[in-house]
Amino acid sequence: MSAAALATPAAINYINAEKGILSWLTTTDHKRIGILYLCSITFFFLFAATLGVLMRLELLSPGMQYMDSETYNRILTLHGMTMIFLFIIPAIPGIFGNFFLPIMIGAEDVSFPKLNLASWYFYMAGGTLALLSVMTGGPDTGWTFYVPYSFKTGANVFYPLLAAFILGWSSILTGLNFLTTVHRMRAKGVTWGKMPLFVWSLYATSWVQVIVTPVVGILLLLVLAERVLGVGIFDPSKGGDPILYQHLFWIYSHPAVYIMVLPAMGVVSEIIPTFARRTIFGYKFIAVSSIAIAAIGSLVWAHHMFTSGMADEARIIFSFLTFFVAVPSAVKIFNWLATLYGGSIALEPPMVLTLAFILIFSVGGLTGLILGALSTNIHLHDTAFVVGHFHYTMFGSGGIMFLAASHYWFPKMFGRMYNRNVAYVSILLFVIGFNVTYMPLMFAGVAGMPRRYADYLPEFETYHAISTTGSWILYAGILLMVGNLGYSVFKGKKTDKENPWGGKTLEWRTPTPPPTLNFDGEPDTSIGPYDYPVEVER
Amino acid sequence: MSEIAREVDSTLVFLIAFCTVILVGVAVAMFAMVFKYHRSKSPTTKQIHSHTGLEVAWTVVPFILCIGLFFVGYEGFKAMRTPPADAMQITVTAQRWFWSFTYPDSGITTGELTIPVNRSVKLNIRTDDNEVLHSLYIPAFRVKEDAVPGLDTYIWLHPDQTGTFNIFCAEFCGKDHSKMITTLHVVEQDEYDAWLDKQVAEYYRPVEATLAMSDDPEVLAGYDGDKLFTKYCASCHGAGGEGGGPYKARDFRSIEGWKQGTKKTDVFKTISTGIPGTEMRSFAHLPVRERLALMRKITSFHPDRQQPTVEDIAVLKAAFPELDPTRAVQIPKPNMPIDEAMKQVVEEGQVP
Ligand code: HEM
Repeated sequence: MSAAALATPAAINYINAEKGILSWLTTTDHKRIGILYLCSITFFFLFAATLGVLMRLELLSPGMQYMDSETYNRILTLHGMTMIFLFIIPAIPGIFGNFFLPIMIGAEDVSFPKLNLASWYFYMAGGTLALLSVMTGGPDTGWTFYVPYSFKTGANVFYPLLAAFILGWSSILTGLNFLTTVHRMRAKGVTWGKMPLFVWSLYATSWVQVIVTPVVGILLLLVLAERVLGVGIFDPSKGGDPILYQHLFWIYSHPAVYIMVLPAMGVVSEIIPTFARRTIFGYKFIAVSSIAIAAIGSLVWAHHMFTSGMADEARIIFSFLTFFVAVPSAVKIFNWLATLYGGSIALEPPMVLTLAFILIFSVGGLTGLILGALSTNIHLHDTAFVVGHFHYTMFGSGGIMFLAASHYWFPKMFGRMYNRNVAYVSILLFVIGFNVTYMPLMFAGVAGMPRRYADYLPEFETYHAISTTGSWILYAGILLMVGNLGYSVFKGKKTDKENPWGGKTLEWRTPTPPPTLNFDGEPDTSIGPYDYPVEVER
Repeated sequence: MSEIAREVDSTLVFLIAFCTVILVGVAVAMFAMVFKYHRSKSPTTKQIHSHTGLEVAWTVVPFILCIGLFFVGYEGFKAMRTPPADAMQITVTAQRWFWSFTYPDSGITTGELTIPVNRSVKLNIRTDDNEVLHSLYIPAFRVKEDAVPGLDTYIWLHPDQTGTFNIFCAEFCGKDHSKMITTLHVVEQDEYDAWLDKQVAEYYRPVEATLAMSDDPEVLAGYDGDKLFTKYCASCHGAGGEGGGPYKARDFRSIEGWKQGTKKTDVFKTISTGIPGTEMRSFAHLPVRERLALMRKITSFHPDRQQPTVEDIAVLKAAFPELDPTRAVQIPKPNMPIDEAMKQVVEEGQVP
């Protein structure tokens, strides 16, 4: 080996610093924990996507073809639960938050590295329990576990409720860790006003996680108590109130929607400046709108309950509040568009996915307005329209930006590059498949197709047939994309370029892949996260 | 269709148009910029950090628009929740996994809903305390409301066209949620009156007990036990009577272990009263012939069973007036206006 190679500091990095499976399973390095999350979350994502495609297959034509309705309901529940609790909530914070948050603020690690590892174990315990519940038949309640059904059903809901409870712990620990890290571990020079927007978004998300997750924890315990001890809080035959359950559930689960979308918005605010070579437009407005979304988003939970039998006055108030959450989201979209203005845009794969996000998320957000308006909500609530809407928002934000982030930070994380042409093809399949799958559902909903139906009347067949065809294209796109990335982790072209995209945040000013302590020496914080020079034509 | 449904539609069209305009605006802006500032054409950059005027504008304008949109939705909602005082009241009962509709005055119950055109109808939604959530959804009228155990809810309609429409359950309620579908018939007033008279007569027409327990097909002419079984029983007891399912229902192919007996009289009684403490509920609201048709269907899964004795039949007859033509069947008196009723009460209470 030549002396030059030995002298390269990048030769030792977080990947090759230690060897063996055990070194991964006992690591407290935030980057390695990020990779652990990456593996497990990708597994659960593919698992749940497969369930989604199975459901769509059954819905191809009216009548039950491949399964009975009980099996369908179980697949539906497992798909929803896995996607929510095991994929979309932890995906971006768990993987990219863990990996990059400390680096982006110039820290060596998070505040509590051991708790960080513990949170991954909680995650795995929850995931394993959820899978175990399948072996005992699986829950059939829908991911919302509405009472009285959830304490009446003969299906096993004990495991999944416990799983959700444990996953809540994982979520809280990660949130606590990020909060303290942001407060205590920023390198000199990384002031609040110089924090990358991805960090801001994780900061806002963490507050939501820490504040509202305990509510659902308590709620899940109450349902268990109802089932096992029959305490009668929610049981109408004992004077309990089933609508109380819905309030408590959505007090958590609506803010959870923002736990899913805020980190995704943070990734957008990183990718757009990098590929437009432009400082982000309205840094302060974007940072503040994250906090605003987190705050207002906590006050609109009952818009999931406009037909629940809740008092009409409450419906009116919650509809009114709901419209305000739209404002900070709109502000972000305008700021991102303005960031493109006067830039120098390179359409690399992560950027293309991000542009797709802007349009798909806009559809999600705008259909949210249609659902927020009271009179139209009454018609569309619990129909296929809602299914379309929430796939556009959740899958279209958290899901797409998870994929975009994977393409964006891939070279930095693995020191290798994926095949760009394959990436473009997979993105094309993904975007086409996505819209063909979910757009027809919106129309089916307007036509009156209820959701969570294992079977449907023949008059809805056209919508469903198109949607199912779309799900195959979508699935092909997902498999190709994940396959391309997975293959490239081991076989991709090697690269040790520090800054392949020309980004300005700190992770692009450390070796590729990063060393165990993140930086060789002190991080250079003299340049702000979006300090792009006005470039002179070469 | 109804006035309210049309109003919801125009709101919907307005909102969709509004959203489409914004979406197209965002898309056009985005593509134009990507095109104009693509690196191949725009190697240099302008660094603009922010522009307070612009940002305030695009915060305030959406804010105002949103308040406007709220009122658009609110207007239609108000009408939806305000039934006229003179609306005809029908009680809707949601059960896993079928609907029943109980008519005022006559007290009859049907499995499909029939209402007259050009009249306001308020549907009072209820469900049993041991039930789960359901939701009454009539897409053609753009209305929906949950059935909640222990709570009374309602929707109302004022159809202005005749026709046949779907009624769905829109709140997940388990195994046959997607089969909890029935039909709404909107008919002319005179057609409705004729239909109602016929239903009432049939509903209260008794069957003599001995005849009821016989196998005589004439007694149940026009009643299809298979169809009724599929509608009311098969979701728990299986299409072939094999039982099991989510509530571990009785297997009809055997006669072992039946909680309330296996004779025809026992089976009729169970259908009419349910089995307390289990998910087997009472079907007393079904007309007597439907219950008998069900009884015959259920006993046919295992025809070889003990026949009811004369005493059994006599006991049953005493318990169920609908099996005894000599006992006049009470057709409930029509509801009378409250002041009229008060007058009558006063008269009846007069001490001579
Ligand atoms: C391959 C991709 C996917 C396909 C084909 C798919 C398909 C479906 C289908 C057919 C349903 C049932 C709709 C109904 O009738 O109620 C459903 C429900 C659902 N999906 Fe997906 N989906 C996919 C990805 C996702 C993703 C990425 C997420 C979350 C980020 C997600 C979250 C949900 C949730 C929460 C439900 C509702 C479950 C419930 O009602 O309890 N799905 N999906």
